[in-house]
Amino acid sequence: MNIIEINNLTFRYKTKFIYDNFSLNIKRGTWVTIAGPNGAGKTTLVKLLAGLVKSYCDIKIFGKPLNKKNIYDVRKEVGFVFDNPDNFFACETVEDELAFSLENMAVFPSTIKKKIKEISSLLNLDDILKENPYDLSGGQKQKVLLGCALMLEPRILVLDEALMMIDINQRDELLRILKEYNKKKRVTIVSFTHDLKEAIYSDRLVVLNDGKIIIDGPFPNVFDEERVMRKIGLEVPFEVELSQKLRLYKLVDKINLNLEGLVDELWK
Amino acid sequence: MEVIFKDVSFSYNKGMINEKKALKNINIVLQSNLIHGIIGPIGSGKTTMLELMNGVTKPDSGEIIVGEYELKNKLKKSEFNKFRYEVGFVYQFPEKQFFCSTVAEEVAFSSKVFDSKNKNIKVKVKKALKMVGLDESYLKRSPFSLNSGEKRRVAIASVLISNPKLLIMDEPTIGLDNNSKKRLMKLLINLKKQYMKTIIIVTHDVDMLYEITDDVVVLNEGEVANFGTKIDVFSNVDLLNKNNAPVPSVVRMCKMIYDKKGIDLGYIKNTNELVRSIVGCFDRNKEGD
Repeated sequence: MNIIEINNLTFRYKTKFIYDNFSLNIKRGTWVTIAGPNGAGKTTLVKLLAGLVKSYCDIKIFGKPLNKKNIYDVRKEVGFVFDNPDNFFACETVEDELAFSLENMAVFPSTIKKKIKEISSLLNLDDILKENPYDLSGGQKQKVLLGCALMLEPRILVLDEALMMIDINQRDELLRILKEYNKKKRVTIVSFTHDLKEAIYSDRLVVLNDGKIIIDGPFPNVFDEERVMRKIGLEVPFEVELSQKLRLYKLVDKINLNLEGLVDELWK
Repeated sequence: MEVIFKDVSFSYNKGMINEKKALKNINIVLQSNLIHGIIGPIGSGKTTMLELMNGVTKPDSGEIIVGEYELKNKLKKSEFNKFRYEVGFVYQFPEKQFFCSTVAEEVAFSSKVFDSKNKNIKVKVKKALKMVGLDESYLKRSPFSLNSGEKRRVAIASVLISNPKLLIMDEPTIGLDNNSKKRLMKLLINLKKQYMKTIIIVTHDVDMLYEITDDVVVLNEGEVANFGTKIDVFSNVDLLNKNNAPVPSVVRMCKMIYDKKGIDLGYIKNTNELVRSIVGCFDRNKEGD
């Protein structure tokens, strides 16, 4: 079942067409990464899904058209995590920030407390709960923002370059946590990024360029199109680049997303 | 422009119940005309260190010397203007430094304010934009309407226009696609080699750093865990792991081959060199057979 349906989307800023007859369907419970170089139309698509810019097209979320009448109901079940956390913080402590959206929905304080405990332990935020979000580092801020989105138990989680300030080690850990969350809760994740390293836990990769889908496929086979990705300015994961180069020398047969597996295959 | 930290400590919310030590007794000398990278896990004090050398934040104790400026005492206005002009800072979030309505005004700002001989500003603006790969069509656009990669490039151009001796950059590659990143790396190497600039970069992107940096500082919990040339620092993978610091991909692969197969590939510069070394191993094996 498609949870997000975009049919024949046309959108332009003044005279510049960003999307012309663009269609994309996303199935429930999947993790789809939408990648593209700067200017490919990623942020515009996020804004369209969030209803932040008007579209005169057919975008359906949970089968409901995204219009004035439905937008409030839809937004309650879609969590957005944007790239600049400073634009979103409103409270003096991380704990208050996590509670903010549920408080506004008049949820019982005891339920909010329980939920904060669950999310802070999931994302490892326990040590910073009493801190001012503005005093945190960029990566910590992004984790808090992700926590705020998960507090609402969204059915769809939209990440717009949401992990780019988190260091590699922590990002891998966070991606694993999100993968478990995606499987366990059947949450649909739509992640927008220009960094394909963030895509390694996705089920499907869609590559955009100039408002058009140029690659769409499952992992890791989609990396057979590695050359096209690099040509448009995307950085493929190191493991993919190395596997492909070693394939040219017939030292390995397939793309290996794990370095240990790659070494084993080389010296098998 | 040399940067010296002498026993520098700094805490956020000093004297309050939620006081948090960000930097503890930092002693370090970052030499002129080199690219220095600062790495470490999130919250290790990287950005705080940059803000201290930018003169915006004052240390609780210790001394910071940037070139001829001692940042311990408040600088005189004329001296401070000169310092601002000579030290360029690119923030982690480019929006933080934007306040003009067009890209042209934004890029021209520092040159107009701090440079008394601000001649040929229009030419300088175009040149700075060209250096970061943006053409003249951007001049009249609002910097706030740009995508994240373009914002970052405008932020860098608005710093480059003043031709700073010291360039401080906080996560400069965030939001940049691969082509823009490669262009920035080339620009930084060129600024160092041709214009003798000192560049200090805080980044999580160790693969980028591995290609361009000379020295690396590893920070963890506000302390210097390691400092040295990139070969020294990145060859000590165990110490990087111990301090939760990121390890460059090429180095990770070399370490994996060493740990699993006992083969030491030595210092490898990049992926192509790594592939050649691996292929070489198999060629030698064949010859041996």
